[in-house]
Amino acid sequence: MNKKNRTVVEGKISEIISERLDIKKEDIKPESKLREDLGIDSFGLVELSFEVKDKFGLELKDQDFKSITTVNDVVDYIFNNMKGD
Amino acid sequence: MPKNILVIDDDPQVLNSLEKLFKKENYTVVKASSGKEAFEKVEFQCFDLVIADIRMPGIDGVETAKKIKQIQKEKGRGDIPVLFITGYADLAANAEAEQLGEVVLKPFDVENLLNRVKAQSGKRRVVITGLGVVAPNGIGKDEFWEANINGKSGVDRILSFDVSQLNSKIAAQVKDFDPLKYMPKLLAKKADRFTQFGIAASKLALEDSGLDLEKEDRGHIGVSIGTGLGGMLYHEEVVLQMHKDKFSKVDPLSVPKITSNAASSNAAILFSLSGPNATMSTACAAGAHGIGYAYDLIKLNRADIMFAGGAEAPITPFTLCTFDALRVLSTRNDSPHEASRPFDKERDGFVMGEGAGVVILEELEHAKKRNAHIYAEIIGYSLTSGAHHMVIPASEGKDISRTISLALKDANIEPQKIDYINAHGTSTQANDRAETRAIKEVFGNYAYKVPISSTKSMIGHSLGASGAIGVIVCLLTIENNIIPPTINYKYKDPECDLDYVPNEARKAKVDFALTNAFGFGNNNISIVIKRLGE
Repeated sequence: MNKKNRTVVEGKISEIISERLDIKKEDIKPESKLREDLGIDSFGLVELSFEVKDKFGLELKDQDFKSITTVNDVVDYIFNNMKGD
Repeated sequence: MPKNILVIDDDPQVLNSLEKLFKKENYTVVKASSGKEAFEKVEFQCFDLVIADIRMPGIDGVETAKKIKQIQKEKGRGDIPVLFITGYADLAANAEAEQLGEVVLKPFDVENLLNRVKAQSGKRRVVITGLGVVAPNGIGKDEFWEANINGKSGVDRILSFDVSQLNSKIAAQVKDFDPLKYMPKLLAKKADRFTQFGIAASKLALEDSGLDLEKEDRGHIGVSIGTGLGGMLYHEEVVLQMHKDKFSKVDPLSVPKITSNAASSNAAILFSLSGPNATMSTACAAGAHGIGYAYDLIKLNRADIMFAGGAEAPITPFTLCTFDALRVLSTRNDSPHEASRPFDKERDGFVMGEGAGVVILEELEHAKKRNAHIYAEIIGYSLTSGAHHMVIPASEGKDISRTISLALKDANIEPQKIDYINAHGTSTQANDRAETRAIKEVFGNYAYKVPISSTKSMIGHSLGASGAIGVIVCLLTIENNIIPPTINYKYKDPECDLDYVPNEARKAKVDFALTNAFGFGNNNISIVIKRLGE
């Protein structure tokens, strides 16, 4: 996958977070921590997982959020686990 | 009626005789032989009344009462009335006791003591200090009332979905409703339309009441918004998607969005109201039941203020389709404005409506203390079941007349006192006939004199919201001394021959109003509302 695709994934994740969880787009930065900085609670993470599954076909499990703490981590996870190109 | 009494006396003989006396009157009695023992009881149990001997060894009755009141406060509970008993003419002690409650001198007359205990229960009076309404002919009290007294119909053809397969293609829809005017975007998104209506009405009621929540004990403010069906619109959407796609496509937050208590709970979350919270679901009576329940909670000292009413958003393909199949809906599709015609001979069923009504119920003294505008007082109500049939009223209105009679009895007034009846008046053959018969049975000749109107003629039948909107109509009628009309009344039905305030609003002094709500399942309720000071 090339750099351009990564930008697409970033944009999509930012859109999901802002639309679904009503967080201002300008507050969502790659290094933003999901819980601490953006205030996403456990149900918010469930919603995020639901959208990721819907848009990318990837299952994000509860335990995955132990290592996924920032917006960038979500993008990395998707980028690394997406099949094909 | 207070049910749990705590009796404190160091004399076991007095304790036992009082226990025997009150138990006979169906009270629950808990005994304590000292102040210390009483505190332990109060820590873990709620009481409606405390009876305390003034002179006791150790902590005396006055100190005990003070401490009990303090414990109540610390626990976030309401104040408990105290009745002191004493055999001594200790003027200083008795005067101090009188600051905290009533004093009864021994030897006391048993009848007198019982009456004073009973009177304690009537002490908390419940008034209405705010109202909010979302209706098909107007949002907010001014727009809504203006529409009502001008006989403006909110009924139109359904445009939100394809109605080609339905017999009834019309409904009273709430127009130009923007949820973002009343709640944050995220909440609006996570709320079904019925919840959005409930929250909007709550916010309007709160603003109308002038309550400053920052100054209030939020632990003593609760919410009771009823609904017949709950989040039907979203439920339907999600089920369709589930079957069309995959189960995994189902939104994980569907349950909290669909659940019937979503309106009550979200209102509590939005305004941080941590008092009692519940949702009555008694079909078309739910809004009135929501208010009745809230009234009881304030009477019983479980809350000082309640946001109470009902919310409903049933204009969905499934709901319309099933009511259509039941053949209770009007099919006057060519003239929607004339479709809802309660008590008219040509009525052919009800028109589905939607919306919400929420009132702020408040304990009278609390309302007075903050100089609140008081619309009126609820002075009584009744709850019954026809215990007969899920849809048909029992034996042509017998259960309805019983319901109205019980409400008047609860309010302790003669039927002739009622100046206005806001009828359930759905525009179905069965309801309007049965309700008319019931009114005749209760009111006798006066039935022909008392003005009766059905505002459903204008706003359709919003199921679980309708009973609450009925209460609001009564409040605005008392406030403005204008009775809203029953519109579309053209042809006299020999079985419905009372004064339904046909077609034109009428000026009249209204001090006492009665509103009825009857739900599928034979759940009946009547509420009596009175202008304060009359």
